[in-house]
Amino acid sequence: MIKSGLFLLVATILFSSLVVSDEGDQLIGVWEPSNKKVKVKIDKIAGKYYGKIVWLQEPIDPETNKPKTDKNNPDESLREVPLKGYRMLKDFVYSGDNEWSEGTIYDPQNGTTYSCVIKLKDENTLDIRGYIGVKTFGRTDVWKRLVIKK
Amino acid sequence: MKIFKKYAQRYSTFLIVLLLSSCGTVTTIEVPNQKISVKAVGPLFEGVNTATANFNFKDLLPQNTDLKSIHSAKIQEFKLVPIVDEFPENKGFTALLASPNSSMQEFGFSSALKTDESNFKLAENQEFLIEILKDSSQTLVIDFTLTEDLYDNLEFEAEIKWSIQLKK
Repeated sequence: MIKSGLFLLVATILFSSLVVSDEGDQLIGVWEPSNKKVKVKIDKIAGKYYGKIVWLQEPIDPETNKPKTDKNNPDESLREVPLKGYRMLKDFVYSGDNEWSEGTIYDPQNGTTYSCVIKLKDENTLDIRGYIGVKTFGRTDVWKRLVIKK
Repeated sequence: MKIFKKYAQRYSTFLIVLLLSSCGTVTTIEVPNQKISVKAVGPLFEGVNTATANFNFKDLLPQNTDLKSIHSAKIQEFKLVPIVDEFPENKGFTALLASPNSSMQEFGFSSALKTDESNFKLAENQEFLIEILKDSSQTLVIDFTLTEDLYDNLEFEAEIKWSIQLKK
């Protein structure tokens, strides 16, 4: 009796942890910020969530006539890294209640990395809040999931 | 004045000894070139794709090396060799490293890879490597942009030439 009770308890804990990790996967997909300048694909690598630029509204740099690169990167040696494919969301961990935290967002327009939290408002809408230091002093952008029209 | 001089001499020697013992000795160790198989599972579509591989850097170090003793780390050379005959048409590769308790970081890139030109340009600042290598495991991430669809898997062999210093 005690053995079967213990088994049930362990099974319940294992199952609930699996459900939590699956809940985090709701973030996976292709998303578009409010300025519609990029499309970002969020995927999961080694248990954390990362977002890379997969589409640019203006892929060619008018100054060089070549594909855009990360020309504002604080590390000068990385300024030729192609912007298409760049991971602008990094290291997000699912913290429950439709929220992902502990991550960062990179703004290629000024080469700045901000702390960031992501909140899933509904299945196809994200609130992405970037901040420096304190969460209160930041800016929230609304991202929409790219949904294939049937 | 004489007493002051005497004490100053005695304590300065003590301080120098203390300072030297806290510094420890830094030694450069020989690390064999690391080869890692990286795979992107097909079908792969035109545009940005990703290949990943997990590894344990500790396996590369002499037995019983304490990871905390890593004093400096640098990638001197990074090469990606396709396991198929040649690279598919591409618009560039970016190489990144991550670990469970540190942030993912870009360390190299190439605007377009060809079979006979597979070396990456490397980041000058690689200080972030210490934190990644001290962690329990590491993930190598290769992001690449294809110019056409590819219906097979894509496999590479990554070769890393490390420069590692330990502090004892």
